[in-house]
Amino acid sequence: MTGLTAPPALDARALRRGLQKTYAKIALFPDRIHHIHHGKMLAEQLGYTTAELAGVPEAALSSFCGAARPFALGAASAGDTVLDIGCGSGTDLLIAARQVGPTGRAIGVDFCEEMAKTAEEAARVAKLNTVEIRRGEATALPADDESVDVVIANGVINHLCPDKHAALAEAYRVLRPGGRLLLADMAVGIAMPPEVRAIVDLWTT
Amino acid sequence: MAELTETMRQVGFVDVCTGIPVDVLAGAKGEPPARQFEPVGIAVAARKGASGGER
Repeated sequence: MTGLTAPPALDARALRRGLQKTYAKIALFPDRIHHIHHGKMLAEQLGYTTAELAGVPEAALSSFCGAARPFALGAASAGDTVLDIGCGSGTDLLIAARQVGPTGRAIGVDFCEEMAKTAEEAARVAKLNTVEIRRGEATALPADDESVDVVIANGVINHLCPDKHAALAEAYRVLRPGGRLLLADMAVGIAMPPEVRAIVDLWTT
Repeated sequence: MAELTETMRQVGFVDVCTGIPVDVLAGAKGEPPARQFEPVGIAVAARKGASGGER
């Protein structure tokens, strides 16, 4: 989705409900065919390494949704606190948890309860007790100011957030000075007109 | 993506850089209608200035 703020005609509440429903279905029924490409094959196509995916439980990987590989331009360091905006089923979050090690923290934020529960279960299976999942929104992150070393997000800010400026401002707020933002997202070569972007189904299916 | 990276700079991020585009649609059920907008997946990295206000 291009366009940095929501078009006036977009029903934000309907969009939120639609996104929650779409991602809940993927979390609950990952083996079904969905409109959105997902799963291990997608992760491999996007360039995730075998070593990265080896540490991710099947429950998380089968529901993985993403637009690219956020670690293509950097990684978290040992001891870092990482926050994953829209962590979904937890693939990127668990990869980050292994990067930061036992002295770091990996905090996932998602507004889809089914995806959040999948991520929690995946962290338990992976025995990563530095992982914490919080329910929340990209534009109102449940994290203190300047409390995070690295913010990651995959297929969330440019692709799904109607107000990208607000989401980026929140990422900036929670990052410590010198902290890094590692995004992976979808971009379009041909801009969508506002009347097209205002169609909720286009964002959710 | 230029629009997003420009907004990142407006928010205060520095050292904004982008990675190599990848095909994000291959095999997706929603590929045919989406393909007309030429979507790609891309990594973007940036940093919050050391002072917190560096632009």
